[in-house]
Amino acid sequence: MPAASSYLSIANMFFSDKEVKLIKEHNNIFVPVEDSSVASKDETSKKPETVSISSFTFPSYEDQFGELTIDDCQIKADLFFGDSWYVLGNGVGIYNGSAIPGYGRTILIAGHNNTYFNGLKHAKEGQIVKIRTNYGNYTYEITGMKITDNEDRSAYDLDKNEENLIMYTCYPFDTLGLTDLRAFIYAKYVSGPMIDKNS
Amino acid sequence: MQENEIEKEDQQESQHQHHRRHHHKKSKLKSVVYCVLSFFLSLTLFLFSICMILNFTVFSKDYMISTMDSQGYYSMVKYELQTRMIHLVDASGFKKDFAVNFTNSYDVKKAVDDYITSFYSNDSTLVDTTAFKQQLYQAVKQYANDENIEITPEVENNVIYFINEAANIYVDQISIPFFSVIGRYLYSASSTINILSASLAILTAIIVCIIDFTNQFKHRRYRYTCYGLIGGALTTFTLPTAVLSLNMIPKVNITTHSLYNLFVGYFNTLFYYFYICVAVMVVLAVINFIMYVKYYNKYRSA
Repeated sequence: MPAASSYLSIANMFFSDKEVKLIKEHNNIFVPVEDSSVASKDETSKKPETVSISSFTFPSYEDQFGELTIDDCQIKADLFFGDSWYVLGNGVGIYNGSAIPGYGRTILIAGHNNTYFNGLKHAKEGQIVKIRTNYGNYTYEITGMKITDNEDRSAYDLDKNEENLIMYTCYPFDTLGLTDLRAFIYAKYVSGPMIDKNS
Repeated sequence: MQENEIEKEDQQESQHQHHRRHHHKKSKLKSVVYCVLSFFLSLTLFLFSICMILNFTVFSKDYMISTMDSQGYYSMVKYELQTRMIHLVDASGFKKDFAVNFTNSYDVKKAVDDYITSFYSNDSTLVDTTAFKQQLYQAVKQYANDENIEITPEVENNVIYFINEAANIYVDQISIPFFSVIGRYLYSASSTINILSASLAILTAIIVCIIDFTNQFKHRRYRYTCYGLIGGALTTFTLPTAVLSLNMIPKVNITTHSLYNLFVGYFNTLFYYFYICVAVMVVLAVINFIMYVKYYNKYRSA
């Protein structure tokens, strides 16, 4: 059997342990939470409220787990985990190499420039971005915008140890066809429960 | 006088015994040899079945195309291509219904068939996107005209980028993953399989002739041929049954509907071919067994 194990491992790469699910329907785990109903909220301390990582369902790839709203830009889109073609056809999506809101890292959200993120053409400093998820509600404030090439990796820092939001889309807006340019809109964290990763 | 007769009788008896022992030994050796021949007969039958199945399935372009037909592969490819095009069109500033018009079942079938044919005939032809790109470019121009959108040089570049991206999706959808690699091996192995099938057929015929012509009694001929056929049938039966009982095929990690259905349909039909071979061998074994019983009864009554 040990001799066969390496071959079995290779075979396992091609075969799943259960029947493949082919129906393309996303899993919606978004149940809005009230600001006062955040799990493990510590109301007595002055520290930002926290939410235990074990108290909510962590989204899987292509799961809809929230909603993003920028009133000043007339943007209201479903928020997904992942940024596949399917996701971007149905809303905006968090790049799965970045973090989810409350994780204390960079949140990188993509959307199409002619559909869900078309309103970003009106984005200005000081505007408020609201993100509601299945575990808490967050607020960010737009701090800036940058137009750059799609190969420019300096436009975002995924290793940053600070909660911050970056939204990006193709640029220019309202053009026909695909473009090489990307518009990055940066926002800083204002409020929302931080995820307690140890509980 | 009496002593002499007794001695003679004893001698005769011992000669008989020696003869019987020799005959028994010879008969035992013979049966071992014929059992070994039956074993080789089952082996050649099994290998011959596999070669024939491969010839009619894996090495046959027609098998691939008929499986595609029976699994509804073309319409599924068309649907998936259209879905992906809708996403692309959506991302590119067009209205969603713009994607509906430039994919039709006939073009998809022709493109897929050409792709399959090229690999079975060792042409490393890639999916031809010329017509698709031209058609798309014309549609974009028409769309811009209808929507009063000016095609500036900048927009023109964006449109070309869009068309190239659409062509990549088209190629990705028409082609089958790893098929370009497997196709090359299929082509080079097909002549070897033909030679192997012929050799195994000759070898099987030789073994059957040896069993037939070297056996004095007819019932034994049928008995050993029957053994070979049962052995061949059992081995041929084991291979697909083992794979099917593990239920591996439906768990293959393919997430596109068209390819998943093609893969599952392809292998299920392949296994039916195995069972057809098993059925043929079982029928022949039964005929041989009936003949064996018939001649064995004759031998016993004689």
